[in-house]
Amino acid sequence: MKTATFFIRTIIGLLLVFVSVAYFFNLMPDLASTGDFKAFQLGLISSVYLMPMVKTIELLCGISYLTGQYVALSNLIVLPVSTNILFINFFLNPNGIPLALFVFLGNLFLIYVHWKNYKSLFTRKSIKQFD
Amino acid sequence: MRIATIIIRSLIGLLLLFASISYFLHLFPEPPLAGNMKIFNDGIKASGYLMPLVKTIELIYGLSFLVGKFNKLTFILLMPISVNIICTHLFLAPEGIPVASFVFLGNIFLIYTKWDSYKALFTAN
Repeated sequence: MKTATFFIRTIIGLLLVFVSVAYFFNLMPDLASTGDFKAFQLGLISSVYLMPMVKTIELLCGISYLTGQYVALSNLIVLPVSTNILFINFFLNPNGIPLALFVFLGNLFLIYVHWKNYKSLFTRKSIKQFD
Repeated sequence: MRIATIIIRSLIGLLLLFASISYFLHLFPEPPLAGNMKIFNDGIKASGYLMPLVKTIELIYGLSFLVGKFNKLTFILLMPISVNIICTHLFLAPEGIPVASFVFLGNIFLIYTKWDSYKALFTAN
């Protein structure tokens, strides 16, 4: 389990860092996309803030995964990102599904491995002072 | 503090419910959009899944906020939505900034009220 965790954490960390660095330094050529996928990408770019924000999150969480620090927090922060990557590839870009599925399932696996950090979220009673 | 929590929680819950129900039941005509906001909205519609997903989440979380159940989860899970709402308005639709910042700051406040249960998330290792 420990080696599986380290393995998955490292691979996903490398993927995230690679994708975000490639975005910030314009290392990858743009894919040719058509129809709905193209309209969606245009929409993303026109929002001004979305791509930079997502790529920053990916960079920080990738570094967190690679160094093994604050992994419990990064799991949750990168979960919306990996969920939407999966949905986008599923609905708009089917040949990206295998990679997206790997990242998403890897994210879920890392959440499972760190489950005891999340247990306090699911308690019913709350703190007396503030409620 | 308890009253402030209940007020803010209920207001945000009502906002979320209002936004999601008026989307699902088509209660309001869409305002004419221009420029970057229009391209952004067209892009979202082209994705097919994003609006229904976000509105469904808003509906469920709105109920959770109003009723007061599962709040530990939904307070923190609303963060991606409230961050994006305020960023969208900051960059694309400045007239919505007051409401957006209320939702975002209210969300942060609600997370602060339950901070003890979130502490375990921030362990270094």
